[in-house]
Amino acid sequence: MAKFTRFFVVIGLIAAAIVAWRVLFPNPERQVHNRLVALAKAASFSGGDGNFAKLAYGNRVADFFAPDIEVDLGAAAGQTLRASGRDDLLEKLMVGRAALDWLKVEFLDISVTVAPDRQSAIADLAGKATSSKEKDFFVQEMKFTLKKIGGRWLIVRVELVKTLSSASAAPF
Amino acid sequence: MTADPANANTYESLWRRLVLGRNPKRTFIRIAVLVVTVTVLRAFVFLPIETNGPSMEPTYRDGINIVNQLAYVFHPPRRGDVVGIRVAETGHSIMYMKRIIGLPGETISFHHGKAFINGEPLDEPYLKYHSDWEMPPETLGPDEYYFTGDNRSMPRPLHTQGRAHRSRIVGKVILWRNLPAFSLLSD
Repeated sequence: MAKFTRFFVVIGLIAAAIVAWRVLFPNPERQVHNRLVALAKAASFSGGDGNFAKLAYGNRVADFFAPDIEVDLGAAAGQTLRASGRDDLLEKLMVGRAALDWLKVEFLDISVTVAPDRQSAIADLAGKATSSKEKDFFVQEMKFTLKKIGGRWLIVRVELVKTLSSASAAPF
Repeated sequence: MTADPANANTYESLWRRLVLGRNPKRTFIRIAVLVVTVTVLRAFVFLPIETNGPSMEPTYRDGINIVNQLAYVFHPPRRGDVVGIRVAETGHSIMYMKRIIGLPGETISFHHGKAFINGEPLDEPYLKYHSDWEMPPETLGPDEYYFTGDNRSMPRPLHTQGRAHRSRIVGKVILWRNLPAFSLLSD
């Protein structure tokens, strides 16, 4: 029995060490993954936010993006979002924030491909959004391009991907 | 008031036997086998999903369904199969639920709401609503399938439909409809 106990303790310690190593020293893929999860969290807001939180919202989200960000979300969920540059994005985020009581954003099934020079990465994911305006949630495949700028992974481009495509379908 | 140590021991051993069985080692092995079996089945074979949205009506309504991930191990996807299609390149946290109407290499078109495969009208007994879809002929690539929902009364631009690579198919949906709600999306 003591052998069994020792065996499980050793296995547990090894597993804990691996988890601790991955948390403390994440590889670039994990860093980008964590960054996108943090963005989804930052982009979500609840109805009970005060005025200060509302004002801070735009800056909190824009902080994830590079100054020369290009966002092209076309006509997703009936809303058109195209922004060129962080200031333009900030402005549109604030308009969007004012139009909704609450918003929950989730990025699911994130797959990250880091370039060989480890200075840029592309992430493909399924974005899921639930808002106070729509009864059903909205889902869309998205592609994020990130660059390492000043030691931080910043988003330089966001675009929609058509999972089911058709040559004659309406463009985004 | 005094406690009877003999009685206390009897109760303790009864509880021990009820919880751990006559042979605790065997009980633990049984639990481990059960947990591993359920975990493997859940992760690699039967994926429970919650359907949401109107695009597969009236065949499927909101509720719980199961995706059989091993359905296409021995044969390729077939026309008429309802499948789960991953929204992102990997993973299956969220999927579209659609019916396969076009197979690799075929030419698909819609005229007056009717689907045509290589110029021949497609028999689709599962369609219950009127449709006025129009789409010029489109030829699928070697590993591409064409997917649509059964509710083609929705305007085509609002109905998520089109072609996708074979790798996007997670598995075949097993009809287990209208159970109260788990996520499969059918817009």
